[in-house]
Amino acid sequence: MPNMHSDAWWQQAFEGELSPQEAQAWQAHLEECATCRCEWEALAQVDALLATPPPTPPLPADFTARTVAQVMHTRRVRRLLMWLGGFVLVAIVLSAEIYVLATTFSTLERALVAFVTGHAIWLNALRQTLARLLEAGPALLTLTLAATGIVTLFLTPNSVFATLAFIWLTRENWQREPHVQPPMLA
Amino acid sequence: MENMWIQAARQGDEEAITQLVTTYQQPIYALCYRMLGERTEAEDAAQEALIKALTNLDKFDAERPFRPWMYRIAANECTDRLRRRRPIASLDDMGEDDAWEWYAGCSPNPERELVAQERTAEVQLLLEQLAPEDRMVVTLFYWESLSYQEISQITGMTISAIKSRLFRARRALARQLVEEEIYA
Repeated sequence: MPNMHSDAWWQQAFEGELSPQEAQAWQAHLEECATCRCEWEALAQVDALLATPPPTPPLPADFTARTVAQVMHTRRVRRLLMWLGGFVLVAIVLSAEIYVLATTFSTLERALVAFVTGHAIWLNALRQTLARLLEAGPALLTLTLAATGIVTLFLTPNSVFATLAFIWLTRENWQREPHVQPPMLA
Repeated sequence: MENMWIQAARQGDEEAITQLVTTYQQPIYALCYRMLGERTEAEDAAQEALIKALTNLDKFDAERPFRPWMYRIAANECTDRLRRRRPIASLDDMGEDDAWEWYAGCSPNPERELVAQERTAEVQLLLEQLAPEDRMVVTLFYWESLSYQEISQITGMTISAIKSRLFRARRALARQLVEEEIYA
C-alpha cells in the first residue's frame, strides 16, 4: 500500500503520473480523507490562480535608449580599464626589464673598462719595449720582453687567469707528451 | 539573423545592440516584473540584466540558443534581488507599500478592475511566501509558459529537481490558501 500522504505520491498524482489503479485508489482516498481533499482542492485552486499571468505594465518610452546608452558606456569604461590595465602591466614589465638591464649594463661597463684599461697598459708596455729595444740594442731584448710580459699579464685580471690557464695547460701537455723511444738496433 | 546581431554586438556595433535590446526588453521585463512584483525594481532588474548580457557576449556560447541564456541572467538578477530584500512584510502592510502593487490592466469596468486587482494581489501575496528559487520556477513554468526542459536550461537544475521544487511551491501555496480560508 503506497503512502498517500508522501510528497512523492502527491507530486505523481498532480503531474498525472499515477497508473489507472493508483488513480482510482487516490480518488477513493480523497473521498475518505477530508484533510487531503481540502488540500487537493486548494492545490487545484492555486493551479487555476497561477494559470493566468498578471498583466505587465508598459515599459517607459526611453527604456531602450537608456539601456543602449548604458551598454555602450559600460563597454567603453571596460575597454578603457583594459587599456589602463595593459598599460600598467607593460609599465611594470618594462620597469623590471630596465632594472635588470641596468644591473647587467653596470657590470658590463665595469668589465669593458677593465678590458680597455688592460689593453691600454699592454699597448703601452709594448710601445715602451719597442722603444727600449731601439735604444739599447739586441742585448737587452730578452730582459725587456720578460718584464713587458709580466707587467701585461699581471696588470689585467683576465690576463692573470689566461696566464694561469696557459701554465696549467702547458704542464698538462708536458705530462701527456709520450717519451720518444730510441730506435732499436738490429 | 539574430546570430549576426550577436556577432556585431560583440564587436560593439550600436545598431546590433539596439536590435537585441528591442527584441528582448519586453520578455525580460515581464519576467522581472512577475518575479519581483514591483514596477520600478523590475525596470531596474531588466535593465541590469540586459546590460550584463550585452557586455558579456564573449561568454555566450554561440552553439546554444540565446533566449535561455538571457532568461538565465535575468532570473539570477531577480533571485539576487529577492534574497537581498528585507523580511517579508505582513499582510497589514498591503496597500501602503508600493511593492505590493500589481498592475491590473486598463479595464474600463471598475468592478472588474477591482476583482483583477484583488486576484493579482492575492497571487503576489502567495508568491511572497516562496523562496526566491521556488518563485523563479513558478514564474518560468506558469507565466513564461516554458517547458521543464527550457527551465532546466535556464536554471541549471535537473528536470526532476524542477518538478519537485514546483510541486513543493504549489503545495506551500495551497496550504497558505487553506490557512487564509480558515482564519478569514
